[in-house]
Amino acid sequence: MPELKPDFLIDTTLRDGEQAAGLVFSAMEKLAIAVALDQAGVGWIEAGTPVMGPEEAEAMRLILDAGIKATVFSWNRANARDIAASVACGFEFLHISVPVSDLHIYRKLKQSRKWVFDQLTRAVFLARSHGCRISVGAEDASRAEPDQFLELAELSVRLGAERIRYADTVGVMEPFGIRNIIKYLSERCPLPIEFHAHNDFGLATANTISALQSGSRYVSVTAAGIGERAGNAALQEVLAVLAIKNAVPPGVNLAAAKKISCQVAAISDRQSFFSTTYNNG
Amino acid sequence: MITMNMPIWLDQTLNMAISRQFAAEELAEIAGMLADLGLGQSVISLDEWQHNQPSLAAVQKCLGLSGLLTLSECNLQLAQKAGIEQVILVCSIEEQNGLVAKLQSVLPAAKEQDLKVSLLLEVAGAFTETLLSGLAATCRQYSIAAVNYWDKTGQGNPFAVHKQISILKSRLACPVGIAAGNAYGLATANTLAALKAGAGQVIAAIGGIGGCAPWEEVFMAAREIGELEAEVPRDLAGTCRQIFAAFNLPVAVDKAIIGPAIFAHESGMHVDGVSKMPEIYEPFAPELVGLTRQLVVGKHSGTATLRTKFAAWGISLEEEESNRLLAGVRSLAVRKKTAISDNELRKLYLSG
Repeated sequence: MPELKPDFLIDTTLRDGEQAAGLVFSAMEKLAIAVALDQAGVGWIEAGTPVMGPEEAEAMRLILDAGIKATVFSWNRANARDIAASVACGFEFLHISVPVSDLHIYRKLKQSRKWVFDQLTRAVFLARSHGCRISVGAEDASRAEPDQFLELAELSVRLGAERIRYADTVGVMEPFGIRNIIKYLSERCPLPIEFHAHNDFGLATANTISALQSGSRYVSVTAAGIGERAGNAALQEVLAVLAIKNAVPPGVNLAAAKKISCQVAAISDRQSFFSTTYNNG
Repeated sequence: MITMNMPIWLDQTLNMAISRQFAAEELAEIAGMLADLGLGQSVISLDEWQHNQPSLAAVQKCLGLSGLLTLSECNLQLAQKAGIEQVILVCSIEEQNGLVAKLQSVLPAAKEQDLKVSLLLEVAGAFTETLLSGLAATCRQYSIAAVNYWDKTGQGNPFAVHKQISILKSRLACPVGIAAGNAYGLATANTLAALKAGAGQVIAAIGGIGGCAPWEEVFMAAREIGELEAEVPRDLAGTCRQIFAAFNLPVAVDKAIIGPAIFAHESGMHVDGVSKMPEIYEPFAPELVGLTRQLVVGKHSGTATLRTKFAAWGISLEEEESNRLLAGVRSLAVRKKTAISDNELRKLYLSG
């Protein structure tokens, strides 16, 4: 395991985590979670998506005003409305996500790769004109070609992005494949890589550890692994595995992370919402 | 791509029922459901079975049984009492130094009782050359049916497991199996690594009950990622839920493969994606495991979701209308702290 930097964790409990169907955090809950993550030594907090509306924007402002040491940033699509909403909230660091696989570009957006690059260029330009720092997200990277990811990384670094997120958007990777691709990419990528796992086959933690071992500078996690479908890599579980290897960097507190995860698991309980879902034979 | 062959599945779910002292009929019911999933064998602790000694006759109509016994006590008579002809001797780390000698002392008796013997070896780090050669010789001499690699602490990593399983395979004539502990959420990954290295049997349990690899994750990952050729049993998710219900346990809503929420989409982008082509945001079709897709209306919804819902009700929403409605949906969702029901959605539309 290479030595991990203290800010290697990028927590997205409040954004990707909250996307778990039926889950809503109140503004106060979001604030409490953000403060707790900060105190646990998490370096980056993806707080939400301001363009979603006034309630979300309000919650964002509360967090930005809370004196948090971690870098609190917003999630954005590559369009002017999203960027403007983030800037209006007061965000100084923006994550801008674009799809990188043929499947997502052609079938979801029904556009061309060139169109996606133009959108990204304009969005980054707008954000930077407000003095904001940027990270770029490569959505569905695990189903894109390595060259497609690197092409996006080349553009991103030219535009001034600080890192690039490799998203295993539908959770189809496994540790050996991760080792191969992350090793390959980190040797060629002009930006540090953030690995973003999903847990569709119960492999999110293992994949995240494999990514860190193979050259990933950052990883995305959520408290208790909450998130879309079967969730994301769990903050407390990833740290527990790193603790076995004595690889938890100074300042990151495993006990605090476990506590946050228990609390988030409790307030994100959706058993009653899905109890009547036992349909089908 | 990783290629794998279909392993023998050794279930440990039934063992949990034995520990909880389920009656013979309850055991038989669970056994039937396990068989429905295509699991042919279960392993149960004979020391646990000894407390109540429930009849296993009905269970054995659907499943082959192996009895777990500690190598130290090795109470082989229990196998006969339980009507079981296969035993798995559990060897702890502490016993590893004297392992070969101990095996040599108990295996003759097992042979005499016509028992088929496998081993379950608790591991810590690499096997010594002494152990490997002693084990290889003993396995040959006594026709040991299989040697299972047991990561009891769950601290193994896939690359180390792959290496150790490969070593065992190269030294032993008999099949090599994997029993991965799940305390750190790594059991599925470690089990897949073992399969990649040629493991011929997998010890797992439904939902990972008891702290081992979740069978449904290993099975589906092997099939979808590992290209294992296997037919998915009918209503996999439903049967797993029923098995959990037998233990009075709920399945976590976001449990991989079988959770009731894993195909529920709320985020606007995700709903839009799956409506165009499900594979955009789904690793496999929900119907494959007996689940169905749900579109949830809530804080993260987009106008596309609303247009889809209303179109199904015969109402075509204008852009202005859908934007206004969306604002109302988001407000209500945040106030309620949950998703919006169809009725609430209709009321919002009518009041707007």
